[in-house]
Amino acid sequence: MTDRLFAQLKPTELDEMTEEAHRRRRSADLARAFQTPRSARPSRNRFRTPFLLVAGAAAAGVAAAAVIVVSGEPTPPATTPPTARTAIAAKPVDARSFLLAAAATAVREPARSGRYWYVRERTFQRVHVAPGEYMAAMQTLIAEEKRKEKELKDKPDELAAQRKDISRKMGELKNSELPYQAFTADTQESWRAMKPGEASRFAGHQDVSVTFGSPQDEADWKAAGSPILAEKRPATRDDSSERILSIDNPSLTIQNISRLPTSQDALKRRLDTLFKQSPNSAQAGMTVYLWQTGVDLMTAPIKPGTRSALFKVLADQNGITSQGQVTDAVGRTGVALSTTGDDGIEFRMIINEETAELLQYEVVQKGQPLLRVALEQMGWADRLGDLPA
Amino acid sequence: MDDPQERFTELYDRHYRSVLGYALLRAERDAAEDVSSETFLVAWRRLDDLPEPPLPWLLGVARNLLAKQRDSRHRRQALVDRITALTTSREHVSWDVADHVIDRESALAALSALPEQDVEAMVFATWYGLPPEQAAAVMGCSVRTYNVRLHRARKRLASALRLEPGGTRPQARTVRGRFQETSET
Repeated sequence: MTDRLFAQLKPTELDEMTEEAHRRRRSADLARAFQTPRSARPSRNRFRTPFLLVAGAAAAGVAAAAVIVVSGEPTPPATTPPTARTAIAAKPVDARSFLLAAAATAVREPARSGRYWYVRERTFQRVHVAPGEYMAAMQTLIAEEKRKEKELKDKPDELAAQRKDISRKMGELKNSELPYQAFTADTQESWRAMKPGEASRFAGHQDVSVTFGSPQDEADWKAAGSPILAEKRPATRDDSSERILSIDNPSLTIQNISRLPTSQDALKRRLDTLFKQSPNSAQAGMTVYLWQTGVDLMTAPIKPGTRSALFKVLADQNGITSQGQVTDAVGRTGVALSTTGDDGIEFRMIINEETAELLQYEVVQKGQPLLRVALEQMGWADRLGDLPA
Repeated sequence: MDDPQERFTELYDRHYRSVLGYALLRAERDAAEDVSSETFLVAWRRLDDLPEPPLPWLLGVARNLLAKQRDSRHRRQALVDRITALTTSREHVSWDVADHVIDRESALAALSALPEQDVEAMVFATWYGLPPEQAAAVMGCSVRTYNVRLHRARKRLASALRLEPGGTRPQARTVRGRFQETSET
């Protein structure tokens, strides 16, 4: 009874306003999004705890913080392509000591500035779906949903049941896996303008390659009709739209991150606040949040003092372990630090021992890499298309 | 080909109205539209990462963005004030008193006496039809807390409507008389 009354309190004008705004804003909103690069950050939808399970776990009183599992030395399975293998060296280094040393190194770097922040990264990732087939299946489900909405307009209960069913099918599709293992690699370069309103440049899909876990995987792919697994045409785009630097921290921009605190305590307080404000803090524990935000900051032009403070914050964070010296996907050596979320997914960063620079970040499930991004070059450039001096 | 643009367009067309509808309950029109645009921009950046179903996640992002607004134009407003502001005189008139025991204004007055989050719990349950675990995720609280809020809101509202012993019946007003000049012409 109260629900029925409340339902009728919903202003009808709301529907009219949203309908009108949808028509009016649609093309500008879509254009703005399409001009914004999608980040090459780990796509976690396949392996993180489903949204609802997280909520359920919270309800059951399970602490929201990530449960940290000390990872052993995961041996990459034989099916991992050689280009994407991280070789684990024997010598272990204590994570905290290493991070404190990195903090001391970082603070000695001279502060620099420039017109464009340049990053070249090579991304290796597991292919989960053949995009063409995936889209066709998704379109079928969307069409089915629209049809049901029309058919069952006057039967809200039946419609809700149908929606739930379609929603479940969409979820299954999104979590489906190819019956064979395939990996793509591609390079992206970006020049981010420091001055608001100036054009930035993004050049992606360079040197694209597709590899298979084993000859059998490749044979299975051929048997499946050799579906296209990756876009291979290079694409360059210039645009001047404002963009979010760190998905978990919408308030950070490429301009304001140089004002982040340079003392450990102040930076920690700031990160704690940002964590509370983060749209995803309900879904990830502090350690995983710090890992992601740390990667965002280490690939952006922050002050040497902030970088140093960040290493100290990480040094004090529980649940980060060192795996010793490793070789990254493009053959460089560094120390791997990792943290494991409560869903068993391991997040790693590989840091250069001498310069404290981030060489690579990666997401690993059961010892198997799902994503690795090697930061090949970062620095200041004077003009679009130029490389840092 | 994998067409993120197509996927995003589909997401936008499906959920824009719901996201803006919620934002309009917390902010003026311009600010609400800006927050909705920003929410979908975040979704675009995170397209491969969206949970299924995506709506609770989108509402959660919008809710966070609204909570962060600092300048006065964007400041989050009281839910019931916004509902009242969006309610047209036409609706006051079409409200059937006989059907509802009390008039719309009294119902809104009863709501405004509730804690904000309790009303919000009702909004997600009733207007959005979100199951408790999804609504709790949007509000960033445990399912248990959400259920408590929802239960409290229903109870107080019922009590205000005198559907329960102990409630005081709000004084019924003659809505028709009050809005006669704007209606039934």
